[in-house]
Amino acid sequence: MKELDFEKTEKPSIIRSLFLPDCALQGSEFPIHLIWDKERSINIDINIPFSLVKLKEIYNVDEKDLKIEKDVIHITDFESNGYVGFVFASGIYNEDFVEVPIKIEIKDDKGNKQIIERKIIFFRPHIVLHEAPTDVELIQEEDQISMNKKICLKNEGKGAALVYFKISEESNVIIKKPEEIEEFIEKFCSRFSDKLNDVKKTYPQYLEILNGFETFIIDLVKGTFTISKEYIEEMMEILNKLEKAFEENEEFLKDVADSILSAYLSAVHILTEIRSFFEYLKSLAENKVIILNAMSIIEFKPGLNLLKGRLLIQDLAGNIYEPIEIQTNVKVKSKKPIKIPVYDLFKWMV
Amino acid sequence: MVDVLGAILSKEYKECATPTLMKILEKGSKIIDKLKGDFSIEGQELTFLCPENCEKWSIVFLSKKGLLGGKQSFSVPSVRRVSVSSIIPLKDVTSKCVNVLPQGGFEIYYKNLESNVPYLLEVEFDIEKPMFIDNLVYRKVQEDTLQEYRRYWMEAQLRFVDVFEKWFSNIRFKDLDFNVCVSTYEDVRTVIPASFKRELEVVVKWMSETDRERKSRLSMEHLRLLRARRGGGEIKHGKSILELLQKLQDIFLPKTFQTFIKVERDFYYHDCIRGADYYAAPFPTWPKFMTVITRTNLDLDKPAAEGFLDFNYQNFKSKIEELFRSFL
Repeated sequence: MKELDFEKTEKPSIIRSLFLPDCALQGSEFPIHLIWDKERSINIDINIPFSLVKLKEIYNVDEKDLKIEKDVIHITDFESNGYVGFVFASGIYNEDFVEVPIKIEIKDDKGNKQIIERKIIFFRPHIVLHEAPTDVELIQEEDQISMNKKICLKNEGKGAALVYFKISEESNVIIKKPEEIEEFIEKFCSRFSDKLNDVKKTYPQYLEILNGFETFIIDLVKGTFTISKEYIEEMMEILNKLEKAFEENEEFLKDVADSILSAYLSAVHILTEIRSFFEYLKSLAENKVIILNAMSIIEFKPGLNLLKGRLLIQDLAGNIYEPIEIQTNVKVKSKKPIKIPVYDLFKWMV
Repeated sequence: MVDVLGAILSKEYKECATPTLMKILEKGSKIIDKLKGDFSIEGQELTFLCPENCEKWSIVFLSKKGLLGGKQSFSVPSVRRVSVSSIIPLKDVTSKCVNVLPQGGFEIYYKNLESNVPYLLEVEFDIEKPMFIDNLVYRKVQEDTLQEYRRYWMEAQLRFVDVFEKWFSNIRFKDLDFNVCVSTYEDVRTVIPASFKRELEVVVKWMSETDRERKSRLSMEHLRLLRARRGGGEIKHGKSILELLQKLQDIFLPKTFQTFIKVERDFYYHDCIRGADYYAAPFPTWPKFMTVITRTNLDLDKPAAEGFLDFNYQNFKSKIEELFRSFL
């Protein structure tokens, strides 16, 4: 990849400063602004492909002074001279690395002209299934468990990916959290609900918000949440309402925070620093991939097992990508059930 | 009607913000009008103190003639703080001149004010609407970076300007907060030696193993790894994994982590905290991200700000490598 030019602010004859980002995550908003001397009358043309980006907001411009034709935004005057701001949003493209050209043309009333041409890089994660074995053997010899083939994946994009392996109901395997984590979750959730019930009694006006928040926290801790647009929107709405309630009532904020802290402190002794660091390392795969349920344990029974599920993928801006379907037959060569962590199923290629 | 492709224009934010701005203006005007009777007004400014979600009126006044004592009452709601200082000489005279009323508003006693001395009155009010600042200012930070650069851009811009210019002679937005989510997970992952990962794996298995025989085998395996770590020599009481992990935790403390951060242009560093990931369960886990709080200011001469946060990941990685070198 060619060297990026980080110099954003230009100080040529007309524009005093210009902000134009050089890169952004696909599917996210990106701003542009221009500042010039207030005494100088100018008009601006911004040429940007609307097939690739969406214009979301324009600041300091009245409708009558704005014209949009094909891929060009013409601005002939400003509500207050000297500044204009824009918010655009990129799409999510077929390619994981896309360069979008932008041309800004500024003319002043004295006939001076300035042209700025740049490119913005839009990137995203791109998880590719390289090898999906249809049959896998899981062998236990004494304490050693080995798997003859792994599911090979690679993040071919430049963006970070959050990955969650959701096992389908058609599978005949059991997925659960490690015992310590299960114990932590149980203790945390029970203490949290008890404490939150007291808060609900004290603040009945926030009952609906607290019920939503309780579901959210328990879903999060138990891992029963789903990466879906609807779920994220619903939870964001609850959190926004809660934030407003916190701003209205500081005591309420303290009581809710206390219920989480107290639940956490009552359960934290169950987990150890070493265990926690081990989990942390195992959740990190190659090329900016974070596996959200890396330490969950899958239990296979002796004989033939159907492992069917999907990898749910999200980026750091909350964009959701097409899940990857996984289906494989796992033959267990052991007299007892074999338990392996989720991270052991996959091989992440560099 | 111009086709603006469904874009939102300033007028929509103005409609939303105008009623609150009107109230803010009324409060300031009320104070200024009352002061005008006894003083000449030399300057005024409205500042939004963004993290505190409050507005501050700063008014410079000078007495017109000798003051004969008495007091002036200002019945304005939601007063958070009032102060009066003489400018020449610079001296806080609040305790002598100001009385904040329990029922709301405040009084200024004139008897302790001197003639021909410029004074600065500062009055802070709570902003009633929690999301009000967001109606006035657009803020954005880059969510993810290209791995090669680890530079995050930050940007702030006023959603409109003309109303501010028309209603307020001076207006400032101070300390607008930005949370930059700096990813650290790749750097930690790539510098942890494989031998340490293996040792950790054995220790974790040992902790959860209940079968005596298997536990004993894991103990032997752990001893073998310890010997290998110490070059086959005798095992001494060296640094434990726990001690190493505690030192590693220290790298994520703000005073250490901030040494890897550089904030440029119109923004400045304020603080950093361990990243709270909405998708990560609230276990005592290790930070995959650090949230760096940066700030900027806006005013009518600078209606938009830009800045960059550079994460010096090479130094961050070197620091971790150094730790492991001292351990292994």
